[in-house]
Amino acid sequence: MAHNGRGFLYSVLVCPRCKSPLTHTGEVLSCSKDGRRFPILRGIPRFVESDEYVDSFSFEWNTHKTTQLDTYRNDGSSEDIFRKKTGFKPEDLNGKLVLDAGIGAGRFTDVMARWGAKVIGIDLSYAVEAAQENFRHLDNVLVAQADISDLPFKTETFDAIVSIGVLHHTPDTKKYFHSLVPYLRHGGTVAIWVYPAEGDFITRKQWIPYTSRIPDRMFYEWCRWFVPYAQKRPNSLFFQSIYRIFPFSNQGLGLENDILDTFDGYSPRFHGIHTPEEVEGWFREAGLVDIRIPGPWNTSMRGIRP
Amino acid sequence: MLRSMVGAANRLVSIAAVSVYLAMVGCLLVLAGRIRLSPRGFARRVLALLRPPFKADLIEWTHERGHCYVAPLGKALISDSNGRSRLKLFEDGRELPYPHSNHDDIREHGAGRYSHWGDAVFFSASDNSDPAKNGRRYSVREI
Repeated sequence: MAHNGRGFLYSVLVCPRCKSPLTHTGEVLSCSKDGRRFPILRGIPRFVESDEYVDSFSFEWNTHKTTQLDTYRNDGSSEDIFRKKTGFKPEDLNGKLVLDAGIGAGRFTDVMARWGAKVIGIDLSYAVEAAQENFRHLDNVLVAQADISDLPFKTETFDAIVSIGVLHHTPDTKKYFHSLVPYLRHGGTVAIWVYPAEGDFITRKQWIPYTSRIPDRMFYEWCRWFVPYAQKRPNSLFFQSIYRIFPFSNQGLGLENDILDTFDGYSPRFHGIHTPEEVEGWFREAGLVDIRIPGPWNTSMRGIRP
Repeated sequence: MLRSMVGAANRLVSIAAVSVYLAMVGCLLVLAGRIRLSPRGFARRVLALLRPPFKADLIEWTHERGHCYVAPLGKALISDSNGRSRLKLFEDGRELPYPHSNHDDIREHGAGRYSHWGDAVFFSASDNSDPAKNGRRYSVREI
């Protein structure tokens, strides 16, 4: 088969518009009903024509392909975050079909694939190139470039849907969350984390209209200079004051991670911030049950489709 | 050679241009009140530079949750809740390994993690024992 051991994962893909099956010929997927064609470029099915409003993510994940992946870091930092933000354990996902909505470079797909899940990771940005590079050797991962609001799947397809740190970068967090839920099987679990409306997230939101206009490469060069320079001076009154105005990353996961995270915090076009009550409301409106906050982050939430 | 010089020059121009732009935007956001600065917090930071470093033994603490204990400091210092704490915690004179820890990590994993938050220290013993029973001395010092 052209798609090797990923046959099952390919079989899940359908035409995003009419939901008809796709036929696979060469490097093209074609809709069996209306003939629409979706190219497979560098092993990645493409259901969008560009990275639209998420060009900063295209840049950052292709610059930091492996910075946050446990497999390359040789630690369990992303797994720890994944467990706390979703409440999932390996036995919950082993053998299950999971959608990673907003795969980025694949930080959390790396965890789920290790746990034995069959993962389809989608992203609107060209981060899919980085993810494909990271997972091309795995038969239980398929990467596709697609928009959350126009997904190439039939409804009630996935056992679990995970979207960590993604939905707040869409034009309408609630609407995009609601567009995910129909793809969940009855009895399946959706788990998300969005930016909370507190602390540094509020401050960063004020900056976004200005910082997101800076060309990605220029802003990234600046982050590469500023973050290490500021981190080396933790007791400086000047940098302590700067931190209050312009919070920069210091997560204890290494300098490369902090440069990436500072860039990530200020460069996206959209930066939604939300209260736990708001997020819980979206889950209730979507008809989900057993809604709970699985860990210490109060805007991480999970719920089951009854 | 020429290529690397051009690359370095480009980098310098980017850094300078973005620094100026961000400084202007930062001033605008502060003056417009969209980013609020606390004069009290600023005063604390200035005073911290003028006084001698704080040091004390932790005498009393209460169990919070999991491996986490909370000890009041009895002095208003710059902590991680209003800046970047300079406080180090020592167990029998040995510095504990993880300052600025997430409070949930202190509760869940302990192992010497601690955080200076507000006017208290949230901490755990290096072996997750009860500090009231392990007979060790806990002290703090600003570095």
